[in-house]
Amino acid sequence: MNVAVQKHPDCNPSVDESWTDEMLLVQYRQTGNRRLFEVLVSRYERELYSYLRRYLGDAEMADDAFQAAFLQVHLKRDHYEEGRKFRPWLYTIATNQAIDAQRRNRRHRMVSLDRAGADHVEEVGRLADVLVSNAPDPVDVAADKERSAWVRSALADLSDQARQVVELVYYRGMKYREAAEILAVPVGTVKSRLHAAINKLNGSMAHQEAERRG
Amino acid sequence: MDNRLRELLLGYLLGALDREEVDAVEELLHQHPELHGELDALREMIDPLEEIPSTEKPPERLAERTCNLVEFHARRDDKLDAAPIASPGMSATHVVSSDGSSSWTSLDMFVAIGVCLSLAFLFLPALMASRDQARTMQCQQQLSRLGLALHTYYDRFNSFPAIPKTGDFSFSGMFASRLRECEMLEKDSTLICPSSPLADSADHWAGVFTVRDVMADDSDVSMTMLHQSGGSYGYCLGVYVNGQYETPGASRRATFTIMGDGSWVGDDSVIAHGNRGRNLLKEDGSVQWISRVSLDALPDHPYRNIRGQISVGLSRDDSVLGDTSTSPFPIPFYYVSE
Repeated sequence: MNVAVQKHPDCNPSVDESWTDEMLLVQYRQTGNRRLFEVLVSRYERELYSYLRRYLGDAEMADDAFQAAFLQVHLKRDHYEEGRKFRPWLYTIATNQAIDAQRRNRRHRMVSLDRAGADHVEEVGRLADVLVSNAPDPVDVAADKERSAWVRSALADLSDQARQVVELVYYRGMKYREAAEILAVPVGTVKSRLHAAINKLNGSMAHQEAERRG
Repeated sequence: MDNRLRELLLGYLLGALDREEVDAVEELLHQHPELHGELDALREMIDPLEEIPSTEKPPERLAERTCNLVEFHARRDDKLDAAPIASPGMSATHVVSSDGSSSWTSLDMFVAIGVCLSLAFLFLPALMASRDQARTMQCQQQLSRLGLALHTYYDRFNSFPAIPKTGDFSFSGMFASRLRECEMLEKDSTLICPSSPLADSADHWAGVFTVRDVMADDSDVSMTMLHQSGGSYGYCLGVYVNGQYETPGASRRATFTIMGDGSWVGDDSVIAHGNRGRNLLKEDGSVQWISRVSLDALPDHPYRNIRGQISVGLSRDDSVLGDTSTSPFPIPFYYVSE
């Protein structure tokens, strides 16, 4: 079957917010109208990039995985079943791309930790600017940033599987069932992974707090 | 508190539950106000996650670069599809090769396809039926071997492997873990019915894990593997009579089901034999094939208790098979009965 995009330059429907993701993809499949695909990509630019960035722990790999994911959406658009939700389908594709990226670069974890450190140095540097501005109390800002750095560090210490579940359920607001579909595991596994991840995060935070105080 | 209840409460706080689960949790909170304390404790545990934003700033022009990449591939595919296969003036029904000799006409193609379809029509059903029959028999042999292992276990411990009533290890697949610990399981693959979808994705099944493996590894991954240890077969969840939780095994009844093909509700991965029926291992060690239609007509449904629930049996003759991660006491049951 010919799956190449058929160009219809004159066909340029006005796309507004009322178009669902599913409508955009089905219309794109039928017309090959690039504008529809662009809307879809821009809708998920921030959200999906954030998921990949945190999952992979590396901005460059996340950038590549994001592009690869949408290329797969284009290539597999004929496999998309009408009536199915687009978002879990996209996340399944993106997760597989992230896993492939990890396989290609086994050093991702080390890079992630290095980068976390670099971010922290940069943030401390910016505090000097805060001191001469009308921004909130620098002590509060510093404390906030320190807490944020702890959480990032604790999240980075989780296993890949646990981090995926936290990302999908907590930060992306997905149902257990949707996360299970994306990760191709039973719902019970998602529940137990999330519970274990929250326990571990708290243990890790408590440990960091104890180290800081004593 | 039971981990499964915490998982539900956590999902409730995060809005990760389906409507029915939300209703069940709200009912529990209504009946057991003390659970609000647990809910508050969990809320405190997830609070730190708010310290980092849910989204991060994407790199410059990410969406634009992505669209350009897709456009590039689309153009390339267009060019490939536009490459000539035959001369523009050539008839669609008569293709001539470059040396001028005649090649296949569309009539030839139709005849060939017709012959192939006829052959397939004649032989495919017989081939499929024969393959299904072979797999059903292999499944029966595997269940017989597992029955032998269970009886060997019984002879040593005076009971079939028991499933803990509560706690992290309260799920059906623990039977396999116990058999493995006692070195009574020949090989892990015995636990996968050859006609279950799990057999096609056996690479994703890590085999039988034991509690010792989990203790040694101490990760959620090994705990997940432990939950999947039962493979594609369901195991008897025990019976709950006069406030006592019992593991059957002593009576050697030919009517009481102790193990069989799985029927994970909401998960098709263990539904074997094209859902045409199930192989069931009885307490006396015999294996029976029960068609799907006959299953509902049995005096004791092997996958539901007398209240129609997938949980522990409610009389000594009430057998219920639970798939590997099924608990004998699902949370509402546990709370009501306690």
